[in-house]
Amino acid sequence: MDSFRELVASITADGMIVRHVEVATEQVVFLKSILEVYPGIAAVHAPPGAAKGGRASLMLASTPGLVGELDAMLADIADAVSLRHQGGL
Amino acid sequence: MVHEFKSLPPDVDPRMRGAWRVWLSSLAEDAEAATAAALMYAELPPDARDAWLEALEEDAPELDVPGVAVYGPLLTVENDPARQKRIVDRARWRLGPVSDVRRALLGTAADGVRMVALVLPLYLSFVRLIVCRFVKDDGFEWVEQDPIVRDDDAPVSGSTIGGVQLFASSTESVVNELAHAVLAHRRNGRDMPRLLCDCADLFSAKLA
Repeated sequence: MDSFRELVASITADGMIVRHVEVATEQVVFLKSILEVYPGIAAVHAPPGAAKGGRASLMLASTPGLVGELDAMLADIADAVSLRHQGGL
Repeated sequence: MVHEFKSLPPDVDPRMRGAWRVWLSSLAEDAEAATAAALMYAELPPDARDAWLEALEEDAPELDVPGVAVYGPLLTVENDPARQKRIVDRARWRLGPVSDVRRALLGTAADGVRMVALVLPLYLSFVRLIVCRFVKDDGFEWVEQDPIVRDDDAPVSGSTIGGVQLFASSTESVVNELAHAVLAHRRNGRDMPRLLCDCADLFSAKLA
């Protein structure tokens, strides 16, 4: 957990914008694939203990310039991957 | 060609379906994509890893790349024996021993600092690169790795890393150099670099 806290601190210190979401566990790899095809739109991380009850929590770190595109993309696929925002946008 | 990707939700946008196919296929050629996949998979808890494997089992046969392309990155970070076997069975490939060195490179800086690069074969055109900087009678300054890199991009004889030019050497000579530095490092009471501990098989015979 300490290393994950360090990661979050580093991301925040770099001025990146973080979105906390959860998706069905079987859709984690699909979400990762979509984000990877758009270089730089977001880095995906899974906090320790990220999965419970068939849902996985993920942290998406984006730049201020690309976070709008990220949010639009997440809205597009929200229903398909049962995506929910944690703590709101 | 229409791909029947069974793991995707039925109502997923065709563009997203295309992104899924492009990403899976890119894992055969793109070292950064393969590394990112491995790092993401490594962060996931067991049930999410199982779900990842299930998705691949459904869709990998639809791809135009060998199965090892999508399973290989995962095997480089998976420690659970059951999942390792599941991946090996699907990929029809297993990781070679760390002692299986494709290229061993050695260089010396003007101040006597040594630099070693070990290139270990992984799968397809990918290799694992381990680089050590040390002083022979003092120990290691650092040990780093690039877990998945294209062999074309890995150092060869004449390459320079950190300002030190490296030259091809025999694996035995390089392992002897490293073993000497390991003993000096221990003699100085310093903790061994974690990565080097993970690669203990490389020179365990020398230290026995």
